[in-house]
Amino acid sequence: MKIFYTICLLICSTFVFSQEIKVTGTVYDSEGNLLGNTSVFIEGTKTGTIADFDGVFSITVPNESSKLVVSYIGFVDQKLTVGLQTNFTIKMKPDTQSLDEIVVVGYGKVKKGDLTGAVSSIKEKDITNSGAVSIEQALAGKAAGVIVTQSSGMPGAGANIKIRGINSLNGSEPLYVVDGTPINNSSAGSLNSEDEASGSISPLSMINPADIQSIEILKDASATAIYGSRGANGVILITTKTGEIGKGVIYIDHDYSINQNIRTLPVLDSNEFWLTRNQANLNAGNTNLYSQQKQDSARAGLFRSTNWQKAVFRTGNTSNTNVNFSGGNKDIRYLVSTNLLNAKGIVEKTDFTRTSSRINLDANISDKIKIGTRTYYALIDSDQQSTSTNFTNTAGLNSIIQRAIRTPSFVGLDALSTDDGVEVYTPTLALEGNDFNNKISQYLVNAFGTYNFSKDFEFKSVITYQNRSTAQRFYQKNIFPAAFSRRGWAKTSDIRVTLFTNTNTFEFKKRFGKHNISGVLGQSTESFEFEMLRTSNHGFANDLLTYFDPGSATFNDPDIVSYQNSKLVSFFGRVNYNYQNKFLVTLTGRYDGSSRFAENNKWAFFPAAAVAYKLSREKFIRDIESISNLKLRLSYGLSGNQVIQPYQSLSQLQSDQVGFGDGSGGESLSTIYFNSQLPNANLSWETTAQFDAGVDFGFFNNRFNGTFDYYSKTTDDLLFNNQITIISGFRNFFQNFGSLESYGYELSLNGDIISTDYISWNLGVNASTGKTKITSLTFNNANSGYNQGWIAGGTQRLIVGEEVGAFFGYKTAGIAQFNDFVEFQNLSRADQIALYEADPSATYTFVNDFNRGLPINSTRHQPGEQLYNDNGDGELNEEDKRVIGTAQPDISFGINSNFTYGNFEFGLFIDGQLGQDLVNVANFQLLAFDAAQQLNTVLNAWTPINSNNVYPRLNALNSGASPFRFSDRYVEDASFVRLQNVTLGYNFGKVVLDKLNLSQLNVFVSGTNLHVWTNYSGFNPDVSLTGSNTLALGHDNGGYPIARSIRMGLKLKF
Amino acid sequence: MKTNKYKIMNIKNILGLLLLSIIAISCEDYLKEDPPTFISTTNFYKTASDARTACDGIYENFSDGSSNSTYGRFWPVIDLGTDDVTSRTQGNLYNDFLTHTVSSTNSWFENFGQFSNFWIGISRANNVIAYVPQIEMDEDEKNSIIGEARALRALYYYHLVRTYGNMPLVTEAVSTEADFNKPRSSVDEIYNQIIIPDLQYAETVCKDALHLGRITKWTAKVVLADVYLNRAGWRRTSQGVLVQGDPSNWALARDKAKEVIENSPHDLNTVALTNGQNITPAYGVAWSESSPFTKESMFELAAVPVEGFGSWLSRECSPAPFGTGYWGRAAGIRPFVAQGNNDRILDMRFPGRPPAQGSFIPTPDLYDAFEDGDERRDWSLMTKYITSGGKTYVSQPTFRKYVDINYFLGDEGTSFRNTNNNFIIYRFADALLIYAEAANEADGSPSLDAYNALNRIRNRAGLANVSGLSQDAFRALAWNERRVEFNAECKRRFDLIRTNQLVTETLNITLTWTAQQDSATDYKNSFSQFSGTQAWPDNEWLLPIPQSEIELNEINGWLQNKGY
Repeated sequence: MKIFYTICLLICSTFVFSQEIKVTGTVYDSEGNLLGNTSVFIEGTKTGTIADFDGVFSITVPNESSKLVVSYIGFVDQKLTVGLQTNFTIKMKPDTQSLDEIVVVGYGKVKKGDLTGAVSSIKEKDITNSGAVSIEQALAGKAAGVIVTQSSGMPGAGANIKIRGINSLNGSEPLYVVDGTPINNSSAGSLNSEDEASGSISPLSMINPADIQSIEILKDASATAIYGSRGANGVILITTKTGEIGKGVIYIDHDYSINQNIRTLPVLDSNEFWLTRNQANLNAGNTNLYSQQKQDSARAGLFRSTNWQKAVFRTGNTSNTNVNFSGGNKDIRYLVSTNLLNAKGIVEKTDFTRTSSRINLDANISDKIKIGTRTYYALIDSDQQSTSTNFTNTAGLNSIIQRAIRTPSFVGLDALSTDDGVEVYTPTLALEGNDFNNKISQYLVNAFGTYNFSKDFEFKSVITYQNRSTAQRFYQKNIFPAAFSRRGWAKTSDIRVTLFTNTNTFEFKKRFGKHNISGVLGQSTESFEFEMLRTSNHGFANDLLTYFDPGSATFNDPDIVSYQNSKLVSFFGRVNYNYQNKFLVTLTGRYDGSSRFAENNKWAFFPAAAVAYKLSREKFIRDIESISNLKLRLSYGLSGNQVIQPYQSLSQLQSDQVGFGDGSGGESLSTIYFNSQLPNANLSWETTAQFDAGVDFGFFNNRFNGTFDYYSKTTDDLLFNNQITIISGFRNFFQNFGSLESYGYELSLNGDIISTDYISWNLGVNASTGKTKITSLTFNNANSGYNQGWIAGGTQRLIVGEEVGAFFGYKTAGIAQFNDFVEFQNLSRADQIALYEADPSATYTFVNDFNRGLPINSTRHQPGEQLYNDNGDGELNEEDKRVIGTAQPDISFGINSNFTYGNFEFGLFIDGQLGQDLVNVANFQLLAFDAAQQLNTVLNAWTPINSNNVYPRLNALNSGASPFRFSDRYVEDASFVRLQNVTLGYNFGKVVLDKLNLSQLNVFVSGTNLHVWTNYSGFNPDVSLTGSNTLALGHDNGGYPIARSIRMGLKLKF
Repeated sequence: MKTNKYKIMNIKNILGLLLLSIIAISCEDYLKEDPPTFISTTNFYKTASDARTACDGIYENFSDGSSNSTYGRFWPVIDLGTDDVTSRTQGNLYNDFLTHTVSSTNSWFENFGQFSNFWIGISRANNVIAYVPQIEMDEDEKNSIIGEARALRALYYYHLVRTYGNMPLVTEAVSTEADFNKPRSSVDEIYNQIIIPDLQYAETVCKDALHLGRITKWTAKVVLADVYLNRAGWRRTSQGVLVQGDPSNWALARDKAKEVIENSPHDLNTVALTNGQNITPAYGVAWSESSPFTKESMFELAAVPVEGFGSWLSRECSPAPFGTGYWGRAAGIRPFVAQGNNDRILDMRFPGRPPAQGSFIPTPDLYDAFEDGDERRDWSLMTKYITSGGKTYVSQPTFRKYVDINYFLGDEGTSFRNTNNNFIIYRFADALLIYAEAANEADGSPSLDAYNALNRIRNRAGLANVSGLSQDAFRALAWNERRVEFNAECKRRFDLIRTNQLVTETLNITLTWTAQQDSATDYKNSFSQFSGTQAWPDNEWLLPIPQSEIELNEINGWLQNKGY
């Protein structure tokens, strides 16, 4: 309560200036950041001052024995005696039970205690602990309401982050803001257009996690509305480290990890394969059965097998080194950091190298003018393989993992393949044959200057430019079987993405007695440009010159040149009003104009308001000693979403070619033009309205603290490339239509359970619920989900009243048994088996009142066939489909524990998502119960002897598109709890440090992704085949597994 | 002092805000989209070249060279289950057609565009018809382009109504939702308001020339003759009612076909093509990769052997790249020992090794429909191929018209994605056979001209003249002549419907190849579930509207065709 009194005293005090000794000083926080607005007063008096924005203060004291007390909320008071010194550098230590800390918000900073919106903070240590290449993975489980879905375990692959559910059917990724400026986070893309989004490198992987000071996640409208048209999906603010005043610091860390695949899928070996295949053919009535000798050999286990998964997976490793120099004085602070990361993925021929350097510089030119820069350059060099495709017609480019689990184990070992129609290429051939390299370089430069009109009024101007160049090179050697071969295939792609931003802001603050007003007014312009050139040539005489000699190719696919630009002009502002530090009000607004929308719909306004009431400041609570903080928050506001490609409102014509006779006995191609897009003069923003009610609380001097929030959101005018009737001549029409609704609860708790000098234990828990439902659509059941080409309408539907990501298909209803058929009535079991085995492909008649379900069609009226629920009309058709699962989790949580004992520290982090379903796309084939390579689950197939009710009999006719029914067999519960990280560290004590002339020496060993508790049958339960596509949540197609890694490292500070 | 300072700051504030508003004024221009990478309707349709390129765009939807192409890959499904065509492919979309379990979600419609392709074509045609008239250009050329667009629109609608029944009437360029939210109109309305007037317009304004891929007046006439022929015959409505056409159409068909026969520059190819030991009979010359657009061709789709512009039919048609099933399973069999060929079957497979897709393969029933000595039989139902150098390759029976022989022979650079075999939708032979059949009906008995027309077809195939037949006997012969002449040309199903033989002719289909059909052993396609003994169900006279379209057009009151 001391701090509170101090503040009150200060607010009420009048400034009395005397003339004796003038003392100046600069106040820093523990991390070396300037700490503005600190109060400085002379002990025992009411005389004091407030340091300016940069923590610089000046005060006149009566004499040399005067004592100054510097205080700031969230920090321990610092006392100093003036003596002969007149210039002080004061470093504030955080109050270990930090009631308040500085939190970065949109276009500014705020004391955590003064927050009116819902904001989660993640600190430095939690970001680097996981050892992840990219920061997205580090966010999993760290903040309530933030759900991270790993797209792929490939080094550098992105993750899909959703903040408080799904706000849009058209991408629900948050806005990323680095050091105050929004960045472009569009995926680097894959060279192979056949690859799903999960297979590409995330631009965030270009940011070195070790450079990050903190990550703030803005969740409610009050916090996000200042980002207007891009705030609806939440905002992730990334702040990088800066230099500290004081002696220069050299910081070095290095770690090395070994990465391994946790599990392999149990597939058939050669002998099992031949037997199941033969049985499947027999049951289908096929005549091409294997000889008795071959069957006997298989039964005796004589055929050799290759474990193809072993062939494609390997032990990977990652080496990561950071060297970082920082320091500075009052006038200039610097940080120079360099990172070298070298990761070898757990799939052969996948790797990722990052070299990056950062210079962060802050300088005071004068009292009034300050300048600075955040300059970052990163170079990525990454080899990849196809890991997300599954198109059989893709020449030699199937997913390497699919190839490994689908290739029969005998291939390449016995000369049996082609005559049996199993013409495939092996995964090892694919590995040898395909080379795909990405080189990506990115500048992210931010230069700023501020002018201080007065201590209450400051102007800031920032220019930021981001330039990302991607060079992708692919060559496929001419070593594939003819059916899969393009006889040498070279593809190149060069992409340039630039984003230029200029932001100008005025910051102001003023106090009128008990009223305290501060805020920011600003304007920004953004200009985005994208340019791409792609070439593809195939048919090479040899594999020597690859893509360097396109002219020698016999086939030249047309080069593709694309270009896009878009612009955003914005005016924004925020006013914070604080009455007696008890009532807080924040008003925010942004007026955005985006080039992406139709001519007369480019502008929109996004307002938000929030109030907070610090109950703990009221006398009746203040008197309760155990309650140290109690704050109620309410906010409501609008934010928008403009994530569509440019030019969607315009009518477009596209060109192509068509062949005609050339009049001289040959044929030639003629250019054609045709309308390719319906214009939409009404195309505009989608708008999310969000209400948030929260309470922040702290007990026992904030030793135990937490936050609880309820939110509800409604998104209207959804931007959606709506499927329309083909009668229009177009398949899709970009429109604003429909609404989504989400609500949920978020809780985070943190406590210092043990807190002594020698032993401490901190435990943090967060959990959140929240799901998004569709509340209106112009028509029901627009197709969504995943479709390999044969699932009519896809695996999901958008249905009013159902969740986004509702799986839609048939419901299995057990297996047809002997007694279900007329012909098998009144027979002994032995006779039933004899009748069946006489001709396994014969069809029978269901008993009269049979109502357990239906097989896929009348040719499957056979014992052992899969039954599906029927609505009673006796036909298995569209009407029988229903919702058979949901992709959004019911609850997600994280548990973070840090224990220190003397010089040892022990960290543990667990995260989990419960209640979500995942479609195992790979199982469409691996559990088809047909004549191809499959999971060894098919050994449990129905047979007359093993007449189970779960798995159907093997049937070669199950192959292909037509018999396939998307059913709940492929929808799995993907709930999981993951032991995400365990770290054991040792900090060497002062004796050792002094001997080595170090100020810090830490060694650690850490395990990441150590264990996953889940029932999901694929590699990884939190996976997204199509990346951030909200229309196809929850699909896995044998995605690149996430490695278990064991990491060792040390950190040195000079 | 303090107050003064604040005044100054207020002025600064105001200046700042002024600055902001100046920036705002220039915003509208800043935010205007002016994409350099595509053309918009507003700056297109200005020149003769725009008119031509837009018109040529309409052709694409018959055969766009993509993996979903209509005449380049999927349309032959239409004849599956007739007595001509079956499928080897086990368990995929094709077998639903053979087993008569077609549903509205079959991927043939839903994923592979065999409904939507036609509508995209109609939309493109409507744009040309709407926007080209305003272009300042040579009037004849302009009218010819509009004529082509209307004929193509008619052709797309003609495919749709015969396949799916009632269709919405869309004749305007689409720009708003109201333009495409339409109820289904009756088949008769579509014929009378679109198909027939469009073709009548085209036959007056289109070019009078041999066909090179674009619609000529003669193309329009032969299509119109075919339309009349169909209008004279039977069909089932979307409500499942079997209706007979108006017999007055026989005379219209006869007269229109006669115009083509007598006045057009087209004629049958009558000279065989000899290349070393490889001989293409006169009948096959129209499909020879080396001679596209022969004088016989009246509507031909050019497949160009470049990825994206070729045909996939070579991949679809081949049951197996070798003949072990057909010539005998034992690997040691040598079928042409008598001809001095000692190769084993496995050594005689086509070197290009087309995948054993076998989506469309001929039935032995079709083989039997040919008279002995008919040159069309051994060429059309290919079981062996002799190269110019005398090397023999064998395969299971394969529709020769779908095969790009260079791909089968494994020529460098060929791929199943870009084979070079053109699809011919209308030929001069259509005019002859339409004339023969329609004249026999319209005149009550076969006239001399009718015999002449029929005998021109027979003579070209190496068969003798016929004469002295009754009306019934002539009709039966004309029907069979169409069957064998147009094998693999996607006409069988519609002929069986038109002549009300769909049930009778498909009830007992021979599916086992025997020694009588030049097979070494009895050979039957063991993959198909098709028995050849199923009665064609009433509902499948028409195919179902794709399920997604039914859902998207619920607001327009669309009902599914009866029986689905």
